[in-house]
Amino acid sequence: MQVRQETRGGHLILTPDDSLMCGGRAEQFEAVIMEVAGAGQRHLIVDLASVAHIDSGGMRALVRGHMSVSKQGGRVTLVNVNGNVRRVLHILRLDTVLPVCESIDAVLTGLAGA
Amino acid sequence: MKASDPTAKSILVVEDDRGLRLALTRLLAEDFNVDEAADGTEALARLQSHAYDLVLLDLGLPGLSGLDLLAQLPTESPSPRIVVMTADDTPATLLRAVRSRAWDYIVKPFPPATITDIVKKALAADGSLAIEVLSARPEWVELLVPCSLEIADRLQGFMMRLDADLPEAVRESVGYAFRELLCNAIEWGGKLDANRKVRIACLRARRMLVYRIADPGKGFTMDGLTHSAIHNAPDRPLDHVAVREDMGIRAGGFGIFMVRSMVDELLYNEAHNEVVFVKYLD
Repeated sequence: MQVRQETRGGHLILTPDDSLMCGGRAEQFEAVIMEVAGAGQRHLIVDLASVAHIDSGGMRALVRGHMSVSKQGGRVTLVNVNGNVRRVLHILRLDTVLPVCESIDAVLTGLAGA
Repeated sequence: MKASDPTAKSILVVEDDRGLRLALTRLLAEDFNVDEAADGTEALARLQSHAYDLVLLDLGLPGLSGLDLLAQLPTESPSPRIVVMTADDTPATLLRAVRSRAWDYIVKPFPPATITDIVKKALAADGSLAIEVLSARPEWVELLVPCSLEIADRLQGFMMRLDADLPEAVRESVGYAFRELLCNAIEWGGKLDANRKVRIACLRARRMLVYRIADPGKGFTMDGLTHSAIHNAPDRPLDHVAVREDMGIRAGGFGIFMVRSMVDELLYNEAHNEVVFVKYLD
């Protein structure tokens, strides 16, 4: 699995290219998000356009990223979230922790105005 | 058709449809050394004279069928990985293929990128991770699998194809629940030791699906799972993460909580090293 990294408006966007499931892909993504969070990134945008499914391993990666950047006053924002992923976020009540935005532009506009 | 790199993995494409065989051969020849066979007899002759790393096998071959060919392949290592291609995705055919040591299974028609991905994954995977079929009746499938997370993808795909006739929402829920509990059994029960086995049974009754997963671990107690999301207050979904930090374990602990929301019944045995979940179909 590949995780594309792109900086826009001073903020890092992570784009995994596959579902985030335990057994390899979730762990690979977890390593990337923890590395960039540990490198001092405050706000992370995770583009889930290519993530058809996510399990507890994928959620663990997002939560660990969130816990890391939130210590620095930052947050992880999710974009392009499909119905399956929204359902899992809702079941785990993590939709109250990890903000979901409709587009990267909307996130960047919000961060610019913060 | 051959790739120029003599160190590239070798693949035998066995397909009677000439157009598809040539298309697959050309596609795979970009990365691999590829031979082709148009029927089972030709394939068997090639397999007896050359040690292939992988065989891409159509099941609907004239004469010696793909399943017959699988039955004639030697079982001792090293044996090629077998990726089965077929338009027949009935549970009976799928189970026969898996029982005959098929590594993966792809239903025709398929996009070219899919076959490339499957071939690369099959070649990269640990060949010792074999699925042992204990019961292959469509209404009672029972398997013994090694405790490696690498096997989770293969197994989930396999089990979900057995339930291909169910509504998508049911398949999604069952797929998530099965995978979560399987990963728990492999990681916590089997300690990721591929020499240990998880026993899986899937029972299909008229009005319900029943999955049973038994791991080789000592079990646990639900009350002891203070580091699991199941003990969080509804408005505090990350409370357990602090408990995990105190215990020196990474964030996580969402699996059982997730499963409880997706199935109708979740039952553990006394030791908690066996779990059954039920999904009602009406």
